[in-house]
Amino acid sequence: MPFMDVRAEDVSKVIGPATLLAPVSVTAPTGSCLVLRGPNGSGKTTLLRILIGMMPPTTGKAFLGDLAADERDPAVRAAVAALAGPPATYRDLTLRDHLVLLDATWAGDPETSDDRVAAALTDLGIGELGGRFPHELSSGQTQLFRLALTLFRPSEVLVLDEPEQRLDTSKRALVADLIAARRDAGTTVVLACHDPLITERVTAGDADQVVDLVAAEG
Amino acid sequence: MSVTADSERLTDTVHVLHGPGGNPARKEVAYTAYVAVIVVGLYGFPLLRSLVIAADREAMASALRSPWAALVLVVLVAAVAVAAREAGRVRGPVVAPVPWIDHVVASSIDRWASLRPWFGYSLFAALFAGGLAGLLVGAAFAGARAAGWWILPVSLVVGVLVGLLAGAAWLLGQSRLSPEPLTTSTPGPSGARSRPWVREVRRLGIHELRTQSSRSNRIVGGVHAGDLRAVRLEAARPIARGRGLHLRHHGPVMTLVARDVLGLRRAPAAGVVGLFLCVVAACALGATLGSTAVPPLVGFVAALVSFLGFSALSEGLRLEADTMGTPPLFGAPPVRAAAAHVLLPGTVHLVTTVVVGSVTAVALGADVGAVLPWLVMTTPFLAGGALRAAYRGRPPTSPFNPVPNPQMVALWYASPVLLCTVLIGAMVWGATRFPTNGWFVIATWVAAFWLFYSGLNRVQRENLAHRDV
Repeated sequence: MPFMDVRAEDVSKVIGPATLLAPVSVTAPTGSCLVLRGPNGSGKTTLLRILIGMMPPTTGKAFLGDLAADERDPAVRAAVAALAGPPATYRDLTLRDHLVLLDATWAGDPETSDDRVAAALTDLGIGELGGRFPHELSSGQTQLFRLALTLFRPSEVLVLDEPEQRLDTSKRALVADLIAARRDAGTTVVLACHDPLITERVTAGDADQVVDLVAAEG
Repeated sequence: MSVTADSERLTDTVHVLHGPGGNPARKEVAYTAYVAVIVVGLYGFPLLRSLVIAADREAMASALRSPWAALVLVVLVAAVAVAAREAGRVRGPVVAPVPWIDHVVASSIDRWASLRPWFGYSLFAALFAGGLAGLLVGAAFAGARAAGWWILPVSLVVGVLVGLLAGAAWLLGQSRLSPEPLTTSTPGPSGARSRPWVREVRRLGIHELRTQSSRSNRIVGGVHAGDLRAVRLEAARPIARGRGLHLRHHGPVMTLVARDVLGLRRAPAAGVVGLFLCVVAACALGATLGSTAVPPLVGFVAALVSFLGFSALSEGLRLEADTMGTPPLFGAPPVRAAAAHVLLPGTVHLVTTVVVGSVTAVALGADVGAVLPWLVMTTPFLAGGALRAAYRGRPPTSPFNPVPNPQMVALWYASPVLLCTVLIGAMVWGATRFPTNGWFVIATWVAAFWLFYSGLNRVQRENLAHRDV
């Protein structure tokens, strides 16, 4: 699978009188990690939504490799795994079933599916919860399940909006290691994050960056 | 705390909240009842009377006096009671606003005293709805001269009693969510302790009251906004059965079908209801197509029931549609995934309708070859309707009307079922009038596959249309 970089060129977002994102340019080279920081209202989530093509910018352009960032393009959807808001889950499927379904829709190998699903859940410390339904999880476990869904699907670009939400210290360290491993495997990672532990661990490489966004006036 | 003190505290609270005019809820309930009477009188009565006449008033008159009428009534009453009890688990009759629950119900005031107004509104609503429905049915039969005017008081009394039964079941559905109180000597008005409805209201726990109140707000908000996903998620019962069953990888398409099978095994009530409705509709379709003695109106009713049956089997399709607008997680292209989720309900519906409909038609003396194509054609109609229903998106707006009016939202909700009912009903009617007319046959096939294609097209449009502005 060819990996791709992520670029935003002078993008901004204005809705009516409100400026959600002041003009900003960022680049995450292939196989690097870009961490967006900033106070509430600085436009981290807005920038992430523009980068994954869920929201068109008011000015500027965003690219994933050579592709314009527009999730209506199947190639963009195939390339980007994003956790930006709660994903839609099936209330009649267990955690394990969700990952099997995910694997099948991405044409994973049926022979190894069960093993890979078990490993993915175990990696995030929720291996013993595979038989539970989504509504039977605590808020922290729900966040880990969402991360498992996002990390399990194949992708060239991984985008996470505050992956540390509702996680305890040990789980945050676990998630940081998993993100760093994905980056080391060549996936381009962009995340909005307030957690110093995760930020430090995922930006240890030379190409990794931390960008501080500033809240727009007005 | 004395009862008088409770009463004074509640009066003071209502005065603080609503001023000297008091709580306007009573006036709102009365206005709703007034509007209901007008709507039923203007639209309900003429429509039902026409249906009785169209369905052959002689046959209806004799059916009314047969034991079957009593059996149908008993089954209907039982169904209403079961539905009311289930409804009570989601949204019971005693649902006060959240601030009232947090600040008044949670205080030391007697729970019955603090919740009595909402109990009263719901009791009135149940009795009024039952009485009005009974009166409507009685008036329709009397107006169509299928029964004498004696039926009016009888139907009114029966309606009120059914309303009372439904109200009781509704309350029980809500109150039995809370455990039995540990103490049985709850203070209250003299004699109130022995009244069963007072006991049931006092049994309501603050957690359940708050949950139902919040849920009720979200359901109402979802209905107003046309967000059916939110409504469904709020109203759906959590699934916890079939934990030992596992989804297996069977390839990109068949795993989606296996997902739907697994969903029905974990929520078997939906499967049973769907199958039952498909069988009943197939019987009616077979009878209408197989015998000229059966009124064509039955075909329209069968189409409606068939849609409901197909819909009950289509939860997988609706859940797939729910993923629209979220970052893509699953790899299947949306149209292919939607088509895969139609396979299970479509197959169950097709087999049921063909087998049961053909058997019914043959039993009435018809030729299988003459009814089979029409029975088969109902499935693409319904598959298209189910796709349009699951991917209906948001209510239409325009630059002149950015917030859709209630009539538009109601029409938008009902459009898939109306479309299927009219098209299938018209097809069955035409099949009994001019079954060998080539133009009619071609037009019907074209209509069936147009509806299915338009359903798939709707999936693609929704897939492209949900990008944020």
